[in-house]
Amino acid sequence: MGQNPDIRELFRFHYRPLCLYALHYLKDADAVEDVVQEAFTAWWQKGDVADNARAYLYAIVRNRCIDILRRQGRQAEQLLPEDAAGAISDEEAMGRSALEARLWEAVDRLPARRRELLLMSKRDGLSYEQIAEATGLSVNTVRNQISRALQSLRNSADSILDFILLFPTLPLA
Amino acid sequence: MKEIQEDILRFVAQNWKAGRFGPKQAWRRFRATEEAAEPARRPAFGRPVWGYALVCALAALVLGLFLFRPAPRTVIPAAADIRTVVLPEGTHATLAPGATLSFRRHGFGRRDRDVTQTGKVYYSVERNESLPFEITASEGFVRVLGTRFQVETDSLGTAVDVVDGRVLFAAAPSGARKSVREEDGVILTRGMHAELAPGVTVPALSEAEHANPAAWATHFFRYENTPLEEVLHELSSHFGRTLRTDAHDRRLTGEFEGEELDEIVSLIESALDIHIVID
Repeated sequence: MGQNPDIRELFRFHYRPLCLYALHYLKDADAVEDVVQEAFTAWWQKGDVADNARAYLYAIVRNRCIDILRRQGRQAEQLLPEDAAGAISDEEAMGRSALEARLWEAVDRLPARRRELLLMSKRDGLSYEQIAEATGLSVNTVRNQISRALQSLRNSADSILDFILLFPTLPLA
Repeated sequence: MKEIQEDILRFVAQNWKAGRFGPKQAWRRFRATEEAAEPARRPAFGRPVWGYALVCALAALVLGLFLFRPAPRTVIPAAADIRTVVLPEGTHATLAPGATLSFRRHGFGRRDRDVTQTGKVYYSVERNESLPFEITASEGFVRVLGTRFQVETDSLGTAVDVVDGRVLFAAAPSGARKSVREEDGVILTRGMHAELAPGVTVPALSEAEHANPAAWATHFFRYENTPLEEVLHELSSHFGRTLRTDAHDRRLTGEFEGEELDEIVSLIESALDIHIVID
């Protein structure tokens, strides 16, 4: 079978975006990873190497997520993906997933201390003062560290943001 | 530099965890799961040597079966009626009731034009100088380049009647003789008839029972100074009627094409100024 390198490349490029896309539906990281693994297995067993793999994978992930939500008793109107603020469209979840994956990797690469400060701000919603108090750092230090962290994230996201802005309706294939 | 949407950043931050959603770990898990789930697919991730050996052995077996299998043939089976078929290279073959015809499905008209028949078949062979049309009929063998003729096999042997052109008629190759040369048989031309009896190596020229042995297929009658009694005998036999006349000593030269007995009889009556009774 000649598709071994292809599927490995697909994993490299699409695994994390697919996980983040599925996370908008399921909000359970373990279930998300299972769903995405199943999607890759389905694609691999299907045997089509080059035929619109990305679209196929996203469709499988979406369908499996919706199946899971239905089994959990969700009604039809509760099957939409969500972000931190509430429901979003499937297209938006799909379109965001590549940028979210890029930001995820950028967070991964941040120095541990700076990353923790950023997460306290963005994940926990703490103000600089609250973070300064919790960590014993000065407010200026907290502000500088978070500012540098955001700068790193912007740098990482820049290329993909340009891409999204230039091609907002880029087809999946 | 673009600003990152706050809700996107918050979504990532809220879900980020070291090592989560890592493609490398996921790939390793995928490989392990697939290998355990379906051993048959294991070769995709690192084929064991015995797997290659098994595949090679199976491939050799399949290739051997492919090379030594009987070549698939197209068979035109026996039918109760006369029917004409057009072979892939353009030759028309008219099969009498009960006759069969077969030829190799692949390469017919390109590599060869070899057919095998039983019963009685009339051929109008598309001319091809570089690829002779060859017929094996019981113990008989016929080779032509392009002509019209009839081959008939029955328990008495094989008979060939030529309507037009030039036909090589011989015994079919057997034993050490793998091919047929012209000196192995007889050359038949227009109007000639020859028969090959079972066990005989060279066909014998003889008189056909009728002047137009292929008329059942061609509906064409040609007579050249033929005694009228022979003409009426052939037409009676062909149409299943009895034809009588008092003009026993007359002879007929002419050609008739058609399927209506009344029409042919009328033409003969006009040509010879005689009366023919149809019973």
